[in-house]
Amino acid sequence: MKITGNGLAGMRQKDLIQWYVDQQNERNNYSSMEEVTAEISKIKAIIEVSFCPELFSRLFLLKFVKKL
Amino acid sequence: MIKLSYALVNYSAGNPADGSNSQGMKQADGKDGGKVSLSLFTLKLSNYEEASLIMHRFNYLAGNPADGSKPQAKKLVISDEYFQRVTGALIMRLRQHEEAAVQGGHLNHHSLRLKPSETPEKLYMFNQISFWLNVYFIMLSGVHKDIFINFFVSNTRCVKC
Repeated sequence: MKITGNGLAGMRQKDLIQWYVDQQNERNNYSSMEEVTAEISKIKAIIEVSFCPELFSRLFLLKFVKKL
Repeated sequence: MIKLSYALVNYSAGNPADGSNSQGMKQADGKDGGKVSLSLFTLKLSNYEEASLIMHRFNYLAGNPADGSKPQAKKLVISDEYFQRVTGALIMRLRQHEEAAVQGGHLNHHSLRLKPSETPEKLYMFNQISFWLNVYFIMLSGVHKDIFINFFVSNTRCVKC
């Protein structure tokens, strides 16, 4: 197992999202593909802000420096 | 009148025509996508309740440049309840993954990113504090520094502890 240091203990973001979507799909929580796509966007946002603060801070600083 | 600067995370779907993907990320469905950028905005706040409302919402912009035109902003609102539910599920999955990794000898306890005491509520507070720290750093360079510092200090308290 490769330790990537992405804040997810080596787990890939794609696998984490896939697991969550599979869980919801087993419970028949989706009625269309659009719902799945919208939920993936939200989950990605939550993961990157909550579990990958380094990425969030880096992007924020990059944008901030460009503004100066 | 208080002016508050804040940052929004902007997600743009990847362009399948050229396959470009600046962040190198892929969505769970296997398609290229997920270009992430931040946009800075300024709000005029009439009262503290308005600021509190913003503080308790994670608003994101999502673009859709499939036709190559300028991305049309689409706002995603993530409610508190949704955030807590998703975060709780993801933490549970990550702990399972960590336990499996530790038992397999791939990780030791010192390298774990999620501490045993970590909870969705604490992550939620961390995000709120990070948000206000970011806003604070923005305003340090602004003309309303004094007003904002008073505003920041008066609104920084842990309501969940």
